Amino acid sequence: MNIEALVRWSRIALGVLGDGLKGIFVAKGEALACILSLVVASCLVTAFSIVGFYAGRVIDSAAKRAFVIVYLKEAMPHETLESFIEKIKKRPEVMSVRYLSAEEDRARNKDLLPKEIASLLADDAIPGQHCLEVYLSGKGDGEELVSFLREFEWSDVVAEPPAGAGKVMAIAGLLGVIRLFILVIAGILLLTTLFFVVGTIARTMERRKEQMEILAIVGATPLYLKSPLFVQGVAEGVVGVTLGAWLGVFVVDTTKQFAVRELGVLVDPGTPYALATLTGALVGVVIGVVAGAIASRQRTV
Amino acid sequence: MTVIRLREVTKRFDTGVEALKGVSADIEQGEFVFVSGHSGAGKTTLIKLLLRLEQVTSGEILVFGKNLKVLQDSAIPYLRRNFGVVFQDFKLLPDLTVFENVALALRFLGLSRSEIRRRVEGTLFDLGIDKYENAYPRMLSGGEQQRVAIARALVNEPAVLLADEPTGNLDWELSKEIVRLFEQVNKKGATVIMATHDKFLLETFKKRVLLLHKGFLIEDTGRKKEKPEEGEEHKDEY
Repeated sequence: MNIEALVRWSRIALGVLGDGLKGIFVAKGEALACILSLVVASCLVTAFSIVGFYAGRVIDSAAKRAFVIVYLKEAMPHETLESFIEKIKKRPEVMSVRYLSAEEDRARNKDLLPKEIASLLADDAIPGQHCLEVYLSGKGDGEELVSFLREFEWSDVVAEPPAGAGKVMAIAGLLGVIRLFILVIAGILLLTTLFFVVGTIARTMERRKEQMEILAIVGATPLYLKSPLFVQGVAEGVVGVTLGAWLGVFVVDTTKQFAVRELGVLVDPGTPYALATLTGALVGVVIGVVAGAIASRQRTV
Repeated sequence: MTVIRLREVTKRFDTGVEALKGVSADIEQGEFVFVSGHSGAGKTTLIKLLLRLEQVTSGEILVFGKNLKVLQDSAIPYLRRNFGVVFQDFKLLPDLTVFENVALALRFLGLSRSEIRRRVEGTLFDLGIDKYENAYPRMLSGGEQQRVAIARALVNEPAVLLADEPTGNLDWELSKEIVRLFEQVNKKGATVIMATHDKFLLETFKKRVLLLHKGFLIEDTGRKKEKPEEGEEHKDEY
């Protein structure tokens, strides 16, 4: 392509871009309502997603802390230990098994003590015994597992999981469903706003119908006629969705500060404005392109 | 060189109405042709078929040797760039100035601003309406508005000027003025095809006439006939 053709196509592209952006002002009221709807939908989706994601992480983390400690007798042969671990791993209630030496157990016990007390104690004053941490998968009955573990001669003491761990695990199990639900709601919200964008583009087309007819008769290509509709859709989509995403992050961030201050709950979703901007822009482009494609399916002479 | 060739052109709409019935004619480059007939004779349908705004039901239309029936949709815009089109109701956009209305026909060509200005100002000057460059259509008389519409049709220097009842909304003097303008365009080499039902214009400007009646071509003053055609008995009504 020579320079002259490149310049000509650049001028056409700039003209299309300008026409598309002007399209927003052809039906100002509808465009504003459309962008506001996108802002609200995007804000809700972003807030739900962040809260859902972090709540999920907190519950996942809590669930993963549900484990049974099996303290082992001193003189347990290595082969017997390995065979014991394999047997435990085969249980449906078990997610994983971790072996801790006496020193590792002591170090953990030291961590559990208040620092000022731990610093006063000699290392051998803190108990330590080699043991297994048996992490629960959330499936089956925890009590059955404890009974199973107690039957082995090498088991010294079996420490049961803390109270409420079962419920936490049940909630963790529900998280998958909750995440899917949030995704469906987000999809429905964005789909609804898609039709707002289609509506404003259609209104612009209606008001520009005569102009488009004249342009078509004097030889404008369908691509030239339809391109501004895509530009308008993408502009509305990107502005609405990105603003909404920022608002969603802002709302979550403010709620986080409230939760920390008033409730003493530490939920730290951070302030992912960069991620929100990128995701918002991408989703906005997709919405704009799809809306442009739906709206421009009308025949243009 | 034959610019437009019509071969047994028939157009039947979905409603069952037959607007054109077996129309055949050749139009040469540089010709000035009136397409005449009463309301409903098929004049506008013929113009729409030439622009491929409608498709023929049977028969063939060849424009610059290209058969419109088999022409791909993607080629239609390029075909239309050979035509300048003038409508009875001017079809000017009220929110645009005279300059912008005329420049509309150049927008998609990727011309520079200076080139667009040069072409539009030149065309407005040729048609004697350069002083209205910044005016809006509502500020102009019917004749002036039609000149603007003609300027828009001529600004990209089309090979064929198609005019569908361009004098329909104008008085007799203005109508003559418009046809004289078309004559000037025609003298510069463009083929002019003008649909009109105004018999005084046909009598005043002695041009080739394609006379339509209820979809039939009943007279072609530019063609020697070998045998009378269907519907010819109606030609005395005009």
